[in-house]
Formats: sequence, C-alpha cells, structure tokens
Amino acid sequence: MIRVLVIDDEADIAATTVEMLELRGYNAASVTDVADVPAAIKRHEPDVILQDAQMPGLDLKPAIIAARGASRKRLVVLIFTASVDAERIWRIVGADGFIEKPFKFDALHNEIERRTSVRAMQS
Amino acid sequence: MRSRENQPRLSDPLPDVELANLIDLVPDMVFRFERRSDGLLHVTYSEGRLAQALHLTTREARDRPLIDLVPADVFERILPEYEQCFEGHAREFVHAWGDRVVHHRPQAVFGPKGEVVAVIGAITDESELQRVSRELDASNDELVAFSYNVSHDLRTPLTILDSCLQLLEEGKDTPASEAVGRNMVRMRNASQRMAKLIQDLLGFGRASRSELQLQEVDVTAVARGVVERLRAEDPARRIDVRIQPGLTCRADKILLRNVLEQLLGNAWKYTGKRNDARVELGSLARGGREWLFVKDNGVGFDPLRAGRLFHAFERLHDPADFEGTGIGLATVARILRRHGGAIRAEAAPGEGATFLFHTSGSRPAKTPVKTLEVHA
Repeated sequence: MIRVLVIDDEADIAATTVEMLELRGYNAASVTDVADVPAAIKRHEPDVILQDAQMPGLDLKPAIIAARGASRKRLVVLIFTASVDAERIWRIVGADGFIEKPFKFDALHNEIERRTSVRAMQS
Repeated sequence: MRSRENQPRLSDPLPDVELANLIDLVPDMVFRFERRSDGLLHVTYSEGRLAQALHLTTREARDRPLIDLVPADVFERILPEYEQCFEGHAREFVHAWGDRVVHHRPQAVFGPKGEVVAVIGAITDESELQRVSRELDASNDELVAFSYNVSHDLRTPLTILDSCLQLLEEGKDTPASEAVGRNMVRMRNASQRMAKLIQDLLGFGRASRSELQLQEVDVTAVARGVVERLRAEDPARRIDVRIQPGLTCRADKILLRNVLEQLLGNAWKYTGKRNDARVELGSLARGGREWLFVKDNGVGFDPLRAGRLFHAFERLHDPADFEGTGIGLATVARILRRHGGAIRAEAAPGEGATFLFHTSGSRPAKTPVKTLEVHA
C-alpha cells in the first residue's frame, strides 16, 4: 500500500486531502507545521509527499532537500499549491511534479499512481 | 460652389510682438543653429521657457558658440547628432541634461544649392513624463502582483469547498450525519473566508481611491484600539503587546488605522503558535528618518518572497516572486505609497518579522524614546 504524507498549513485542506486519499486506498497522514515535517517523515515513512508551496516559515527548496534527507526511501515529491506559478517552480525546487489546487480526486490519484509506478520500474 | 465672399480667409500672419510673446509661453526651447566659418555651431535663435531655464535665450546665446553655452557632457552627446543634421540626416533623440531628460526634434533647413544652411527645431523637457511613466509602471507591477495574490488567496478556500463536495459525493455509503456535519463546517468556514477576501479587496480599492485627509494622528491611541479589538475577538490568546507611548505621524487617520490593523493583525496571527508571543509597536531612527515599526517573534517569512513588494517605484522583475504577501500587505503598501511614504520588511523563517514604515517624505529623526509601555 502506498503511503502519502500531506504537508499543508491549512488544516481543512490537509484533512480533506487525507480523507480523499484514504478513500482511494492510500495510507495517508498530514502535518501542518514545517517544524514537524522531519519527525513526521520518520514516523510515517511515506512514499509520496504532497508539499504545499507556501507555508509560514517555509523555504521550499531546502525543505524538499531536507525531506529527501530524512527519508530512507526515494521520495516522490509533488508540489501541492494554489500558486499560479507551480508549473514554473517545481523543477527549480527539486520536486518531481505538481498538483494545482483546487484539484479533482481522480487527477491526484492518477498522478500518484503514475509517479509511483515509474519509480517501481526504475528500482 | 462657394462664392468668393464665403470662402474661408487665411489668417493674417501674427504681428511680431504677438509672435514673440506667444513663443515665450511655449514650455519648450525652439531654436535655430548655424555652422559658422569657425566651424563651430552657433545659436542664432532660441526662445521659449526651457531656453530661459537653460540660460540659452537668443540674447544670452548670441555671439557665443554652442560649446560655451552647454555642459561638456551635453555637448558631447548632442554634437554628433547635430553634425548628422548638417549632413541632412536629422532625427529625434533623447538624453539627460543635468536633472532633466530632454527630447530634441531637429529639422534641416536647405539652401538654394541643396546644402544645409541651418538646423531648426524644438527641445522638450520630458522629465515629468518620464517620472509619471515610471510611476505607472510601478503601479502596474503592483496590480499584477496583486492579482497573483488574489488568485492564490481565493483558490485556497475554493479548494476546501471543492474537496468537501467531492468527499460528500463519494461518501454516499458512509454514515451520513458525521461526515456531512464535518464537511458542512469546513465549507461554511471556507465561504466566510472568501467573504472576508472580498472585503479585503474592497479595502484595497478604497485605499487606492479615497481622498487623503491628512492630520497628526495619535498612533499610540489608534494602535491601542486595534489591540483591544484583537483581544476581544480572541480572548484566550496570551500575548505580550508593547506599544510605545506618544507615537504620532501625519496621515489619513482611517487609512493609518487600516495599516495598523493589518500589521498588528498579521503579527497576532504569525505568533499564534508561541506561548511567549510578543508584538511591539514603536519608532526608531534609521537613515536620518523616523520609522514606525511593528515587530513580532512569530514564524517569520522568507525575505526573498516579500521584500520586493515594498520598494516604491522599483521595477519588479517577477511579480510572482512576492506571492503570499496577501491583499492585506498590498493594501498597506499602497496606502503608504499614496502618503509618499514607504514600508520595509525584515525577517527570516522562524525568526519573527519586523515591518518598518513611514508616511512622509521628510520627517527628521527624533531621539529614541527609552521607556516602552507594557500592555500585557
């Protein structure tokens, strides 16, 4: 079962996204504070993280590097954002892709499936 | 067919005296240059208000070559252009003349053998035009950035609404009451956020349009009122607020209150996670000027993202660079710009933020007040 960690300072977005992921058969958890991310990665051991692009105290590129460092797995990192420039920044910050908000559950589900099966093929 | 009596008359040429007076009213410099036997450019005619300002009127310029009449850097810049004019290739050009920006519109005057006997033209001071153009650019940049912020801020509650609705759709088989109740609360909150967003948008519009009614504002008193309201809305918060007594500034009182509501409100919000939350409002001297500041020990922000919003008149390279500052701060920046003031933000992630601002162009620095009032 694929494990997903949602990192978003908006509690309602984190909660609804986790609920949606569980409905689709993922093992999902969320964290709303940047300070709690490394511990959450160690605890939950996600395969995929959905990283909000704008959170208080967040410096996106170093945060992604730190997240990869904290994980024993090869993480799939998707920028999860309402920003208008997701398409422009996801490569620059070292992510593997992006999901724009608002999003259709099916679109998120397909994107995760696609990314994780690519990774399975590569390992 | 018109009869002779009904044909329009050509106007008579103006009497010399009237023409001379008329040209004195012209804001530009209208001129005639000649090349004399010494090979140098001479001014044979030069009138208009710019000519007067540059001390280049016919009376002042007669009998002296142009090289003696203008600054060296100006002469160096214009000589090649006028040499081209005397070859018959006149063209418009723009350059700096001291503090001014001027626009030359020369025209070759041809003699009977087709040679250029003189160059006539007009020189216009375009400094004001350039200044207004720069302000427009800055204003446009602000607006573009603003719309980026609005997009982002709207999409967040919209996402909550959208996700809740999808959950309700998909969860048809689960016990209805719990899931529905939970999602209803979320949707209600999201809708209220969008309503507040619209209010903020209107606030931005008002800040841009309303006429400034300037007065000496008791900043300390206004701030105390803002803090009282913040406490009333959130009585459980324990937060140490320090407001320096005797703070004043010259501003529109309502707009200044908006600035304080925004800055103090942000400080309130961004210190939400700390037990030892502290917010300060005071004044300090920097660069020979007195600045007011709001400082907090909250989560801070990435200065690369928010800093550039607050540089008045600076051409922004990428409006998306300061997404996330929100409509509230854009409104604050606009209010302060309209007062001829400025705002600066200093912060680092995790280390709190300080917002420094002032409302006037030339307020001298006072000696700093040593005692701070504690308002726990």
